[in-house]
Amino acid sequence: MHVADFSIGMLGANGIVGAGIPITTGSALALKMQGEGHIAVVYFGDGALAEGVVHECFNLASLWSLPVLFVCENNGWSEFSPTENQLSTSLRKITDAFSMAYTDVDGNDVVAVGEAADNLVTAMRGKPDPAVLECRTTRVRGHFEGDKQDYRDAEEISSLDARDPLRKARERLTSDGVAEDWFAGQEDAVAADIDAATEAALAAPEPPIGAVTADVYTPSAA
Amino acid sequence: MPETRFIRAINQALHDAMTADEDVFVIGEDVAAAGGSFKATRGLLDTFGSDRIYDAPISEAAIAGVAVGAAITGKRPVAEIMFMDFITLAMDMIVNQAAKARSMFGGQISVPMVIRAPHGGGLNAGPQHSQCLEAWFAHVPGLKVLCPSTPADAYGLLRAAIDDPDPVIFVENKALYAAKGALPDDPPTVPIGKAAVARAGKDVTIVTYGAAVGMAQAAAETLSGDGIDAEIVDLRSLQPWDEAAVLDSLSKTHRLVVAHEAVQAFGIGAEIVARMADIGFDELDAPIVRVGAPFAPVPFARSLETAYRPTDDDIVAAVRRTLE
Repeated sequence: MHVADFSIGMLGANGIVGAGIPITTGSALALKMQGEGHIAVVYFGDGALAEGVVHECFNLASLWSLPVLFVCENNGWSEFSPTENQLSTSLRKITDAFSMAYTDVDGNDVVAVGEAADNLVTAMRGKPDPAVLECRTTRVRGHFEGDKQDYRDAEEISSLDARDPLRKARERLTSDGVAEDWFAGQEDAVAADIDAATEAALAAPEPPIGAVTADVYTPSAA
Repeated sequence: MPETRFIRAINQALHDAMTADEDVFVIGEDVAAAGGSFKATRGLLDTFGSDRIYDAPISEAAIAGVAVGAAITGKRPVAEIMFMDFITLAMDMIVNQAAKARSMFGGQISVPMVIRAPHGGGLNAGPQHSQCLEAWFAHVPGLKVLCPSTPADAYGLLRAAIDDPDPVIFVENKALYAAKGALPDDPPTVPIGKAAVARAGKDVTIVTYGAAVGMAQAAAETLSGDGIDAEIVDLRSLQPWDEAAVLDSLSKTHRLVVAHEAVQAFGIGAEIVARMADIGFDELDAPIVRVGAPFAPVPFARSLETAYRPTDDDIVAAVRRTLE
């Protein structure tokens, strides 16, 4: 869950719903202060829209014209409950209330998402201001691994395959003339990467017991 | 040596830290144009401009979260939570984010941020503007917690906190803000984790911090009239705390009182007593006695608040118990 790579500016996945939003807002403030045209991007789900700190940050980012792109992957589910039972408004209306730019897009169409994000990011680099990109998508798997999803309609789940973003991208590429053996090559390469990573992880030693306390505080320079 | 008020020492530390490092910035409610509710940030807007000091909306969680995000993007934020009571609204950002980021992400980063939080009663401010909540934070791995008692320590510890690579909760007792003390022209930083012997003595050790140090000094004066020579250890740093200094003093006096303004039950004092009962058991000639507030919200009525807050008389009584 807590994947992060600060060497590329990836500030970490968060275990607390919505908590990436204030952190990214702060990162956007730092980037604006640095004045080099960098922007911050945060991904979150529609479930996060019920968290109070998210509204605090929408207000603050808009008030201070911070260069942060809020990307909501709206799959209609807040953990085990439909979002319509959780949210009395919509992200579009919330965004409007906080005077931010808003775009919504079919989140399962990779080309449409890319184009929409590109437009927002280009504008943001020209003039620091927050924006919201709402990607309407679906949730194929459960909230956690092993979630039987027995709270969902079986027909709805079985219909999701047709909307799978990889399938849709493949159909698009096929109609653009990409050959079938190219897909097979890609699939083999990705499967090999995953297999190698899995094998390496399983073969790696358990972390030493000293790792428990190693990074609680920054080691002193002395 | 010139005398300076505690609040001026805080202000000077912020000023000097912002001068020394352009990555240091201040964020909080009413900190810029108004100079802070207690005037800790007065003049910083004029000196450093609106790119270095931010009047935030009344959004404590966002203030703390923005500090975390800015800290992991190369800045050194100093956030003010107007009253420590309001820090409840920022707990996720402090406990789950600031305190965990380094450990959770395998040591890739540090989170160099400071949260200044005024605590304490005596201002007739009621149960939601008077609490001493420092023990909560001392209980969270990844955080450091400081609480100075003098202007010189306020300056030196705040500079150390801002220079520190890890998140620091910097607790200031509101009742001390107007207190005066010596502050040299070019004040030194004070190392985190080191206690100070505020009064040397041989008969009993009083371990304390913050505003209770003054109570301990008054108590020591009273006790000296009866020929009881108390040593006062001012912790200054609560997490990490100077276990060796407390043990050293106990090894000399063989009697221990721990006093703080915070609620006694499950407080900072409980940890100190537990450790000394373990590693200092052979040094003890009497049971250890704690002084702290009763297990109740801070009352609003002046008479009740006066009765509620620990006093030098309570410390005197505690010391006498160790000598029975």
